[in-house]
Amino acid sequence: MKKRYWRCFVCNDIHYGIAPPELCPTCKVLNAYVEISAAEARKILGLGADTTMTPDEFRAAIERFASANEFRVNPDRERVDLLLKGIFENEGRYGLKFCPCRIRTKSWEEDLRIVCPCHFTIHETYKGIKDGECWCGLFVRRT
Amino acid sequence: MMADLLMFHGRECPHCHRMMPRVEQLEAETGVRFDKREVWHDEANQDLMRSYQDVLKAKCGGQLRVPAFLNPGEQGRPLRRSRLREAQGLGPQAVVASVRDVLRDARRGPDGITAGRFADDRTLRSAQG
Repeated sequence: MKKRYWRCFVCNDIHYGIAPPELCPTCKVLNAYVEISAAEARKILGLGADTTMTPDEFRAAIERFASANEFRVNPDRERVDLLLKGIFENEGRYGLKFCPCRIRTKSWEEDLRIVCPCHFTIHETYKGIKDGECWCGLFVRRT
Repeated sequence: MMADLLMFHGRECPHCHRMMPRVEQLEAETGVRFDKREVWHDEANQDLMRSYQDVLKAKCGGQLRVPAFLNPGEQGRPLRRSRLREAQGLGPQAVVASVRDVLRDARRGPDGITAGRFADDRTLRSAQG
């Protein structure tokens, strides 16, 4: 099924998926999403005041993301700094936060799978491994 | 002198950072030469790595991961794998021994390819004594 763009008609939240959320997570209005074009979504998302993120903001974001999960951001600060440098250089050059430990195939669908954080919980370096980690080691399982 | 093997690596990849001194030690000890290609900051090297994607992806979890080693003349079945992370707990000599074993396999007959993050189970077990 093809993913499409949806906009909350109350608060302009944007959702990308095969179906919209029933409840808008921002304004809590029911059945508020209407389908829009990718071009409209890009305009709305690109016009916000805070459209860029610093490495520190991204680090805080992934720490919040990990806090509700069974993994955490690697406590090795030096490694994380190196990875964030690569992630942001890749974003500057190619537009998305691509993993520094894999390269693009130039297939859009495939390349979305290496945007950080990737869906690493299904990878052989993490799944079923007691002290598993994502491929680059940015995330490690809590032990 | 022509390189024996290709090594694809990333400037901001921690695994590549860890692997590089081992590879350089291996070159010094054995005379095996690596053509080291940084991929994220060099489009031509990315294109070169992508040109091998059919064989690389088949052996590297379906993705183009680094570090990756390739014997461009000998592309074939995967090596036995264990995580190099296990090797990282060993001393440098044991790691070099395991890397050497991987590369020996990589150069043998049709076994032409591996990801640098993986080493040979048997070698690691013997290195651990």
